[in-house]
Amino acid sequence: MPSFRQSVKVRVSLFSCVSMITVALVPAIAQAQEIMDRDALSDVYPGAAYSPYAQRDYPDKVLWGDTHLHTRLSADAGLFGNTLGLDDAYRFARGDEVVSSTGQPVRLGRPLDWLVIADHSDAMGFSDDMATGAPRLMAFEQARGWYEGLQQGGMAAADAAVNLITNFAQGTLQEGMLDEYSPGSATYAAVWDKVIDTAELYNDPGTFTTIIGFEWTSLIAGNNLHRNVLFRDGADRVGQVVPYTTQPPVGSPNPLDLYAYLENYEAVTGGQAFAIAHNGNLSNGMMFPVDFQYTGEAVDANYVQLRNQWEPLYEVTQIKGDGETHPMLSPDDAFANFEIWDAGNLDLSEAKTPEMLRTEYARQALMNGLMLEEQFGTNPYKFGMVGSTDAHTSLTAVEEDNFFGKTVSSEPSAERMQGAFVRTEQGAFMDYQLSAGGYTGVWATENTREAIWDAMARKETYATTGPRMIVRLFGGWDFTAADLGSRELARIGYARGVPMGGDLRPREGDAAPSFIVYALRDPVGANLDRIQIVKGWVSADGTTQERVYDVAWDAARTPDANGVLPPVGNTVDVANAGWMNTIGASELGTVWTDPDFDPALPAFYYARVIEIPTPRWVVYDAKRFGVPIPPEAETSHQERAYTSPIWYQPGG
Amino acid sequence: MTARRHPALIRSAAILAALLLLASPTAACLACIAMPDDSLADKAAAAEAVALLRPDPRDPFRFAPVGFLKGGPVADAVPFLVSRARAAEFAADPAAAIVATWAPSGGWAIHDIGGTALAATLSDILSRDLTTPEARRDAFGPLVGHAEPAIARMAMIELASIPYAVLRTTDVRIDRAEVARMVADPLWTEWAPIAILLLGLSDDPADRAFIHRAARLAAENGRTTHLAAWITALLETKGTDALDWLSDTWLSDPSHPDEVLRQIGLALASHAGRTDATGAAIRAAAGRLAAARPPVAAALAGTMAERGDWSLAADAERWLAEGRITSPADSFLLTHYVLAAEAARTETQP
Repeated sequence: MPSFRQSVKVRVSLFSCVSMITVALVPAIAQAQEIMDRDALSDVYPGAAYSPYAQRDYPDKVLWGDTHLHTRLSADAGLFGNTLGLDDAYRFARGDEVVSSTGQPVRLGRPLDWLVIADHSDAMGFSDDMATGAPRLMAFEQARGWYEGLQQGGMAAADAAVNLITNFAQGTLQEGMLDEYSPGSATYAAVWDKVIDTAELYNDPGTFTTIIGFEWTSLIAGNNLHRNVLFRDGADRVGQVVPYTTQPPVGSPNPLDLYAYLENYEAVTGGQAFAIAHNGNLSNGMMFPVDFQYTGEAVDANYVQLRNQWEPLYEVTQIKGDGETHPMLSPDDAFANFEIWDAGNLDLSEAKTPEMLRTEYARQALMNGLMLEEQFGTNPYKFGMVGSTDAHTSLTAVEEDNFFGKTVSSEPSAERMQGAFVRTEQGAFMDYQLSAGGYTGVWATENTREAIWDAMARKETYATTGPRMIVRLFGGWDFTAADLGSRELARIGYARGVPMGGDLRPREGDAAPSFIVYALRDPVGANLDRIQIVKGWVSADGTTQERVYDVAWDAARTPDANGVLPPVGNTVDVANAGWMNTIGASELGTVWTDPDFDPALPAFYYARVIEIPTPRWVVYDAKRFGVPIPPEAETSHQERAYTSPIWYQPGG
Repeated sequence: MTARRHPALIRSAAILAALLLLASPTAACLACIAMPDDSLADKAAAAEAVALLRPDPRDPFRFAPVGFLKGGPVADAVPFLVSRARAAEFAADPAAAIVATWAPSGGWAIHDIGGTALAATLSDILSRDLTTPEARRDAFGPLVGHAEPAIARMAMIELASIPYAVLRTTDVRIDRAEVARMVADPLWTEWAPIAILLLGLSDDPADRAFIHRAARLAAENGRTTHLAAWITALLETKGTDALDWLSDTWLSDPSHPDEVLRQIGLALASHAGRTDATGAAIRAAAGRLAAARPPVAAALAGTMAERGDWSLAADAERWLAEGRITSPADSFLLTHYVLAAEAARTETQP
């Protein structure tokens, strides 16, 4: 029996064959016939119907969600004031109004379609039991004391919380207490059962999907190697295991051991799972190794194969910064300096050096992946893009005008942008730097756990920094402007090309690859500034190269003599916390052919869709609380979407 | 196992005694949690070169020295990235600079950021003789609450490192609301004890009432967070009146855990160096309490050794021999105390 990944490949291959046959059957439609007439319909949908929406077999829905949300089950959420649990998180994500941990009513502007609650696997449930006074925890005298203090409120509660956190951090919990919240204990199994049961309760196929997951929080001397694990399955399979942790001897901080856990899960249960890394920007160079793993072991054929197998996606943007690229890595990219967190590692115990950047940002990793593929035959960094919040508030609330922060301490208040999220002598992550983002758009056939997970596995996803623009990207060899004008670009794209996350088919003739790219603004959001294609490749001398092409923009602007497109302008009104859609375009699209294509060189292409400038969350805070914005804080920015790449390999 | 059975240890007891005094917590604020690092002033004093860094005009992602407060120039390039947040700070304040130190063994290290006031303050600090606690009190006390955060942080770390007997003579005062905020915020855990001690020096009845209430709450709830600092402040504000309360509340009840006793011992030890009548009363009370409760004795061992007070040596040796000391830390402190007593006796024998 083939593994899931093999079966996916088989399915994609079959689909590709069907598409190629379709292309062969209807060249007239594909290349010249853009209006769906009777003949065309009868060819495309033999014996069927007028409706172009009937009998589709390709993903035609963008489903919005968050792959990374924490509830009070996570120790660093519950111990720091998050009182909202799993139910609250799901209810909020599906559009219900809830009351935040700081007592504020809150609701999403629009519901999400799906959610992954990914609480930390280490000590999962400890803080939840502390909040509820669970008898299994109250059996410990130390815990009972804290609980009583917390119940008293006021200074006693503050004292209890500080004492609890101090003991937790210093490892001076009463003997046996932490073991209760580790794999192997009945308590831990019960906590995990609760996670699963609640996910099943809120999973409503067709309407709102819950994907069961957890965060494996590997931290190497403060360097972030975190991964979220997402299961395709329900309680029957996921209930056969408990999450993998990082603390030896039961767990391990080594990603190779996590891969072994995933492999074991699939072997034992017949289920499917993968992992998504995040915050390479806080790994101080450890996230995407090219020569040595953090253990000192060489990056070898085994590593690249396993990483490729188990990590199809990367969380490229979230509250703790955007990880697409860094302005030092991409000096010619005018849009590279977006929501950057680059002072050091996660706890700022070590300052960043420029040399670390090359192995922690997504674009460079994609390029390094091509290089490693030449060396080992497998590309370890062949990942698609997702965006997520990593909020620890149980609230996946990252709209700029509805931002409920990273932690309870950064829920809306007059003070929340004035301090430091982390500050050491090595640097600071300031509160005003919190990035209100992101979300993931998944191109799926239906809103079910299986369909969404499968779309993720084939990388048919894109990340946004919060807005919900619709973005399509297809790569092929013969797309024309007429294809775009047909308004049937998805049908054409799937029929004659590959979608985001795919591999270009073998080259046809002498053509350079062409790409259909289209973006429709968030219906309640900002207009679009431009669409860009980001290309990365390995040159003949073995060095990695990148280039950003402006490919679509509004009709009001013209590139200058040097080919540089002028800025779109800025309508942000800081004093009134608003902006106008009087610049930019509501939709943009084009067919773009790579003018610098070299068929001998491996490459990838992804689309970056840039919005016109809009206010950052600090502007709404200033308006609503009547407080000043720190002078260092940016007041407007250009939000964006990153599609998963399409890869080209010589010889195909 | 007793010290007497290890002659080799006894022979080195004089050295150990010296080490004990040097390394003893009595050399610093006993009630304070160790700050994460030495202060900026300490690092500057220890470095071979102290530089002010700003982004290199030729490469805005890298630092370059714009001046040296000590030593320099240094041939090594500064290896760190100018982060986006730092770049914004530099843009907002053209006078801002990062203080960095360089040493042949460790290379460059970056520290706090500040404006011209930080540079001027550091220059002044580097020119001073800060070998005595009194000198540090006088140099850093006036800097508490400085508008430049880096200076204010340095001052607090420095004050937390001087003996309480010296600290209590400072004129520095701190706002009660600020202390309350630090106490309630886990992120300020390390800073709370020194803030509590400074609050304890206040004559304001409201400040004193705040301290008394906090100590009472800690007693009622059995809390140990910052307990040593609260009791130190309580002893400061109530003097010998606090001793009876301490004894009645905590020390006469055998059910209180050792950690509580240890923290009370640290608070008593903080006041043991006082030369006034209250100090004598506290020392006498502490001696009685220590004889009854070994964890208190362990907490007091350092200050007693400092004074050459070996009155607990026989008890401590017996406790160690009987295995009554279960905490490795207590055992370590009392063993060294016994060894130091042995050494002192040896030295005084004809």
